[in-house]
Order: sequence, then structure tokens, then C-alpha cells
Amino acid sequence: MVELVSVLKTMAVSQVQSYPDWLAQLFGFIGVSLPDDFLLFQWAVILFTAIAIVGQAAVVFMVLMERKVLAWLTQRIGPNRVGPFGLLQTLADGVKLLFKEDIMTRDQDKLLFTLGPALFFLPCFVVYALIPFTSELLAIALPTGALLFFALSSISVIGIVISGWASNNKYSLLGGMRSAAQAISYEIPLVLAVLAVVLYAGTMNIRDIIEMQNNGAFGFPFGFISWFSIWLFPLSFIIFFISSIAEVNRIPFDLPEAESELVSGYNTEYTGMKFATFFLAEYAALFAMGALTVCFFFGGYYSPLGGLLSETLKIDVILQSLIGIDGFAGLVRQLEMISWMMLKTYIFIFVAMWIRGSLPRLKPDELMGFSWKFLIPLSLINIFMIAIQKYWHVTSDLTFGLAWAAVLVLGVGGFCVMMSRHFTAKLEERFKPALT
Amino acid sequence: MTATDVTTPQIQIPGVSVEQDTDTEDLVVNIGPQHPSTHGVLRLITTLNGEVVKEMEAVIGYLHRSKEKMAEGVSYFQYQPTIDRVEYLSSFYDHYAYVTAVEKIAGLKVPKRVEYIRMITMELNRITSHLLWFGTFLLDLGATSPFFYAFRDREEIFKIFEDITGARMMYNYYRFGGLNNDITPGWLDKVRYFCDWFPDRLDEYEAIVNKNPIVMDRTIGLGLIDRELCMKYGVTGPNIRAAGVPMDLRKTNPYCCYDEIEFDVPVGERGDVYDRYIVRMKEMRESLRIIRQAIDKIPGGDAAEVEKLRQAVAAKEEAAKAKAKETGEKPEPVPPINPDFEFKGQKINLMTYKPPAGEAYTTVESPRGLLGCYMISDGTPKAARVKWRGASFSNLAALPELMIGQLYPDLMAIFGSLDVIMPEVDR
Amino acid sequence: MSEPTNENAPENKEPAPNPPQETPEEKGPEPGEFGKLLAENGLTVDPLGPDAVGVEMIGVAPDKVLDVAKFLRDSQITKMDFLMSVSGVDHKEYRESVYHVYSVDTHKSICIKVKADNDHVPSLMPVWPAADWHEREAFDLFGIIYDGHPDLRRLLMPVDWIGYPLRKDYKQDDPRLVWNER
Repeated sequence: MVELVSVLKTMAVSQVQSYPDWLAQLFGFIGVSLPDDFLLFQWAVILFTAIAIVGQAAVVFMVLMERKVLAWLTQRIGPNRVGPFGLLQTLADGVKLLFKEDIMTRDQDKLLFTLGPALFFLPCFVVYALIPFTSELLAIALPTGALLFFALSSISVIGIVISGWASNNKYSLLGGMRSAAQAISYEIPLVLAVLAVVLYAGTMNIRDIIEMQNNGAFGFPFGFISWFSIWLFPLSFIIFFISSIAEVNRIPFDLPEAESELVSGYNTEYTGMKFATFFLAEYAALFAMGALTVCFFFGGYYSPLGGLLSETLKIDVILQSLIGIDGFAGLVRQLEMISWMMLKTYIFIFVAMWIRGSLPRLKPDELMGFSWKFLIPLSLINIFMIAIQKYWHVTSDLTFGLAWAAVLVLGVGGFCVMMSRHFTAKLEERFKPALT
Repeated sequence: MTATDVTTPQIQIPGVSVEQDTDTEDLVVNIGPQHPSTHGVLRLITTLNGEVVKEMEAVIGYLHRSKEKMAEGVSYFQYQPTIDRVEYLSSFYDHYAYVTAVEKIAGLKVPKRVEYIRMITMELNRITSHLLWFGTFLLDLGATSPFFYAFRDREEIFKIFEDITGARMMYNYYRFGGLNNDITPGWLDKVRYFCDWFPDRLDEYEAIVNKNPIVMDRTIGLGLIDRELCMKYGVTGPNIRAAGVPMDLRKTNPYCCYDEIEFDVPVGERGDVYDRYIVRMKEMRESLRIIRQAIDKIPGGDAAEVEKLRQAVAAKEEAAKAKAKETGEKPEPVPPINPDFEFKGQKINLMTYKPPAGEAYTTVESPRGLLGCYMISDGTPKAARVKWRGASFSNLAALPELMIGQLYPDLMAIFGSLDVIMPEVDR
Repeated sequence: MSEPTNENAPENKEPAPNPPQETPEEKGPEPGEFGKLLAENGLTVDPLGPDAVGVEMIGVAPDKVLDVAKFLRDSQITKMDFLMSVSGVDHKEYRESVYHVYSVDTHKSICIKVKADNDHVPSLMPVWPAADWHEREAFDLFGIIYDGHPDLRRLLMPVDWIGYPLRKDYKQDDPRLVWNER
């Protein structure tokens, strides 16, 4: 037993980080010395709590942002009554939902009905522990972070299926079943797209993947050239982005909810706080997916010019010398990191909202077809390309890199043209009688 | 739903369908009466096998407000406000059918200016109706934004309607042999401005939707309607025109002044959901074309000019009277203004108005199709019978046959494309 | 309200250029285009003259209506393929089923009136399937029984409704209705 504890402890020490030096210096300035053995789970728990609070705030803000963005897209004003610019609207809605009656009908499976939202909600928030918001604000720096992320996020589907079943409502049941089918279809291209990144980076540690992107490629001075989305993995990024929108059940892939067909799908029967839980979890998942996209493909918490601006321009040191607190430079750097991270993430969230405002919903058969017939072959091609590149180390040489890019463009372009035939065939057929 | 036969062998033999091996149950989903996509209160008892519709039965009557019985209880004029509620999205058409029925039975002559104003308002109303259809149809497909765009543009037309009728939705504007009031000065310019402003909007919508791969995938080849099916169920309007049958009463049996106007009848090729969409979008453009011509041709032109003519006649009458006073003779008769320029025909007491005994079946090409009003008058102040033949009623009857074998999500696309409005079905 | 028309406009001013053309016993209107055509083909119908719009009306006995309808549909001259509506009409002594049919090709329409024989009328669904819901509606509201209709149920009213609401002698005295208890 003691051995097991010590093994666990070693594992934890290897994976859970300690507080950084600048924090100790900051605390030292106000006369508090952090304990030396403040290492194990305590620090991770503190970090996770901080991240969860930040995440909750981000989610609450996102709900408002979505309403504002959709209003903007449809030339409306959006919520503007509660608080300045309607900022407190979501809080007001939350309070309203909190006080609403929690209705359960007689024939519902009470246990599962209550368990469903929790099962949906928990993984969506636990994955926040794996996302490096800054180099330090990362609860667990697991070597297998990417793997655990997808393992956890796929649990939430079980929550949807359970609540669909327990609702004793046919729409909910159909919604739950659709959700299961959709999750099975879209997790494959999602993970395959990440597999290409992992294959190239040689690690599943999300922080290491971010660091790799900051190293630069082909000797270009700008950081964003080496972002995985720009030069190496545009295909991976597109597949990942489409699949991640499907994974968080948003338009055009919101079949489990499908308001016009299934009324509201799996959450038709839910009221009050249980409904709010679903609502929160959906946005939390969207936020996590956006953050993960940034980590994998957009250089994470680093600036687009490579490195950190405050570090390059020496702002952190200057500020520290001005204020005269040791460790303040570290704090400035961390603040810049989280700013970049949030900015990039919110750009992706905005794009997701934009898509929601523009596109209609797919049908289930088209949804499956799009995944199995288009995305999965495309991601396999992508992995093949990355493998070739990895084997010959193409990226170390610009000439080879260009040649590889040409192959990539030709291959992928050809495939896309081939697949687009499938989608435009009906149109051509339609205009046939007009042409003859 | 549950597979009860657990002893089924797991290995599937190629060529043997799953249904033979596994024991499945059908799922009966009771769609409606309250459902976001049933456009009112329609109940569809649907038997689903997985997500494939096996059987469907439409249950209607949830919105039955006995409009036909009401007509037998009140005078002809008192019934008019309730007509707006028979079909609230394009109530000018119902009014036109009703008012024409009375006019035909009574033989009331309608000034030409009235016919033109009726034509302009009806065509504008067609645009509002098609716009609402455009928004809700795409909402059924899952796109939210077009709904708001469509409502924004309807607002412009509502403003135009509000100018002359005072109402945004329940107009109650037509009267037996005329209109409630003349158009306001400058109204025609507003309509003309709208006609110039709106095509850009339509271009925008078509740019968003026409070539959208998701829309095309969801609509092309779906819900095929051919001529036989239209005859079988009495499907009319853009639905039958999308099937390639140019059945448009405006063209074939011209009423109002449609025979003086040039316009085309857009027809589709295959009769699928996409064609119905295209036909409706084209019809909006044709409506604009009709309105433009009607504005140019309207007798008397703008209301201000007609008012000037009226004042001139009044001034002449005054002068003639003054002259007659001086000379002590009878005043000379002053020629009145062209009767075609008036906004009402014969002077009648509306509240107690009753046509002589007779019957009429008037048909109008409403945005949803053939709208009929069958009126029997027995000479009493109340109608003996008023029967509404709503286009939606027959269009909806075709839905169950269209849905057999289709996927459940296609229900929304097909039902949405038929453009059914429930108050017209149930009356 | 239209103020100008309400003033000094007595009721008796209204003209009646179309005198009532009904009551064939008295006047006996001439058979119209379709009436003649039907007579030539050995189908006797009562010509009822044109209605106010100009649509020819014919009265047909219940036992002949299927033949007449089939002829009108299949004849290359009439091509009456589109049933617009079926209306029940209550004339107090008897009830009538009125069919308005339109031809998509010739753009002409005709009105067929069938006097219900003790509330029984043959269904025209074999000729025009579009009559399905319309006949159900007429049954629902007037109690006209369409013989041969495969699925004659109430359509607009609830299935357990008592009485036929659009009949002239209908009284709403269903004891189950709440407002009748007051």
C-alpha cells in the first residue's frame, strides 16, 4: 500500500507541476512564503479551481456573446436591458432558471434523468484541466494530454444518450440516438486530424505541441508561419474544425437538438437548473474545443510574431524595474499569454457563431455521409502526407518543403474536386434539361 | 424500440437485410398539435421505422373557428373583419374573393382605379406571404438568419399597407364596389421606391440560399410532386407550378386587371422542394413587375392629382351655382371626374347592404394557390352559405402521401415547402 | 367604416341587374354548353343556368352523378380534371352537395349540384380523389353521407361531437360542453 502511494506520488510529481518562481517572489514581497512541499495535488487543485472560475465566467460571457453576435448578423440589437449593454442578461437568465420548478413526469427514470445533465456537464469542465491557458496556468501537464482530452470529451455523449432515454419522450430519444451516431462518426476524423499533429510533433503533451509551434520553421522570423494551421497542417485544421463543431453539436451539425424537427431533442423535457446545466455544458464544450484548436493549430498562448511581445520588447523587465517587485515580469508574461490565448479562442468561437448564423442544418444521412465518405478519407490522406514528411524531414529544407506543399495541394485539391462532384452532381442533373 | 430477440446471431450474412433478422418495433410519434415546425396547430400521427416514415395521418381541426357558420349569423358587411382571420398572412386575397362574390351577385360596378389598387395591394401581399414562407422554410431547414431578414423586409411592406389601411396585418380594406378610402398622397411613390429597393434584397437571399450545398442537398429531388398527384389532391399554387403545370388563374382566368398587365408564370421542371423554392422566389420578382406596371397604369395616378381634379370639379360647381344665383336659372350641370378615377363605385349603405338572391363561386390565385369563395345569397341581409376553399386545405392533404418512405427530417423540408397555413385549413 | 357611403345612401338604391336565375321549375333556364354536351351523350341533367360569375350550374340526380362526373372528366372536350371544392349546402328541406370542378387545360369550370337523397350522396372519390377531405368536411359539418367514401370520419370537429354544426337547425346543446351548463 505504501509502495502504491509512493508510486502514485512519483507519477504525480512527474506530471503535476509546482508553482513557478515568480509567484514565490510575488508572495515573498507581501511577506508570505509558500511551503516547499506545496507541490502535489494542492497546486493542481488551486490551478483547476482558478481555471474553472475563469471558464465559468467565459461561458457566461459566451452566451451573451452568442446572442449579440447573432443579433448583429441578423441586424437586430440583441439583449440590452439588464445591466450596461445587457452584460448581466445571462446572469439574470441563470437566476430565473435557478428558481424555476424542476419538473419530472411520472414515467421518467428519475435517477438517470438527474444523472444525464451531470454526466454531460462534468467532462466538459474536467477537460479544462488539460488546456494550457498559459505556460503555468495548466492544472495537469500530462504527457498524454491530447488523448485524455478526447477520452473525456466523448463521455459527455453518454450523458446525452442517458438523458434522451430517461426523458421518456420520443423526441428526446431520437435526439439521444442521433447524438450517439453523430459522436461515433465525428470523433474519428477529429482524432485522426489530431493524430497527424501528434505524429509530427512526436508528443501528446499539449504544452509541448504549443512550444513546438513557437520554434519557427524554414528560418522565417514570424511565429505564425510555423503554426500548424498555416504551413504544415491546413488540412488537419479544416478537418479538426469541422469535426469539432460537429462534436459540440452546433449548427450545421445540431441534429441532436434540431429545434425544428425534434423540438429540442434530448433536452426537451428538462427545466430549470438541469436545463441550465445542459446549456452551460454546451458552451463550455465549445470553449474547450476553441481553446484546443488554438493549442493544436494556432500557437496557443504565444503571439503571432513568435515568442511573447513583452519578452521581445523587454516590457516585462522594464515594468518590473519600474515597480520594483521581484517576479512581476513573470506575472506580465503570464498575463500576455492568457490574453493571446483568450483572443485566439474567442476568434474561433466567433467563427462558430458566424457559421451558426449562416448555415442550415444537415440531415442525419448527409451528416454520416459527410463524415464517412469525405472527412475520414481526407484525414487518412492527411496522415499519409504527414508521415511522408516526417520520414524525410522535409520541413528542414525550404525546397523540399515547397515540393511537399505542391504535392499536398495537388493531392488534396484533387480529392476535394472529386468530392465536390458528389455535392454538385444533383445541380448538374437539375440543369440538364435546361441546357439541351 | 428495443430489440427483444436477443438470440439473433450477431454475424450478418451478406445479402440478408437486417430487418429480416432483428425484431424491431415501429415508433409512433405524435407530431404536434404544438410543434415548432407545424406552422400552427397541426397534428401528424407518424409511424417511424428508425427515422424513416412508414405511415402518416394528418389530423386537423385544432384551429376550427367556424368562420363559415359565422357568416350565416351576421350581415354581409359585419362578416368582413373576420375574413382577415381566415388566412392572416395574405388576407387581401380572401377579402377580394368575398367582396367579388358579393359584387358579382349584386352586379356592382367597380371603378378601374379600385381594381388597380386592389391589384397592387394583393401583389404586395403575395410578397409578404412568400417572404414569410422563405423565412420559415429555411428555419425549418435549420437556418435562423433568413427568418429575420424576411421579417425585416415584410416590415417595409407593412408600413406601406399601414399608410392606406391603418392596419399591419388585418387590413379589412376592400368594400363592396370599392375601397374603404383612397390611397394617400405619395403612396404610389413609396411603393415604387420599394419596388426599386427590394430586388437587391432578393439577390442577396438568392446568393445565400440558391447555391448553398446544404440547401441543395436537402431539397433537390425531395418531395416530388407531379401533375397526377396535384390532380389527385387538388394541390395548387406554386406547388403545381413547380411541377411544370402553368396553372395560374391570373393568367388563365384573368380577374381584376391582370389581363392588362404583362407578366410571366414561373414554372419548375421537376416539382421537388428546390423547384418550389425557386418558383416562389421568381414569383416575388414577377409580383414586383406587376406592381411596377400597375403603378404606371393606374387611372388617375397619385391621390393628390385625383384630389386636384375633384377640387376642380367642386370649384366649377360652385361657380355654376354662383352664376345660377345671379341669373336665377338652373345651374349648369358640371361634368364629374372620370368614374374610373373614383375609389368607390355606387353609393351603398354598407351596414345593411344585402345583395339579391343568387350565388357565385369566385376564385383567386392566392400565394398558396387557388382560393375559392362560394357564396349563396337568398336575398336576406345574411348570407345563406359562405364556403371557403383554402388552398392550404388541399395542399396539406397531399402531405401524407409525399412523406411515405422519406426521412423524418425531410418532413420539415417537404411540409415547409408546401406552404401550408393552418387557419386556412381549419377556417 | 366608410363615412361617405353611409350618408344619404338608402338601401333601396342598389340595383339588381342579375335577377335570380334559380327555381328552374318556374323559368327553366336554357342548358349551357356542358348541359347540351351531356344531353347529346345521353346524360340528362337539370340546367340551372349560369351563376353570377358565369359558371354553368347543373343539377344531377344522385344515381347519375358518377356517370356525369366520369364523362366530364374523361371527355376530350370538357377535360374537367381538377376538383376545386365540395360544399355542403343546407336548404332546410333537403341538403345539397355542390361540386365545383375546373379544367386545367381549358380553364373552364362547372358547378354540379346533387340533391342528397335522405342525406345520402354517392361519393365522387372514384372520379376525383381530391374529394376525399372535402367530402369528409361536408359530412362533418352537414351530415351528408357520401356512399362509397372509404374513410368517412369527422375532419374538423372532434370525433365525439354531437350534431352537424352548419345545418340551419343546429343547436349547440351538447351536455358535455362547459358553457352549456351555465
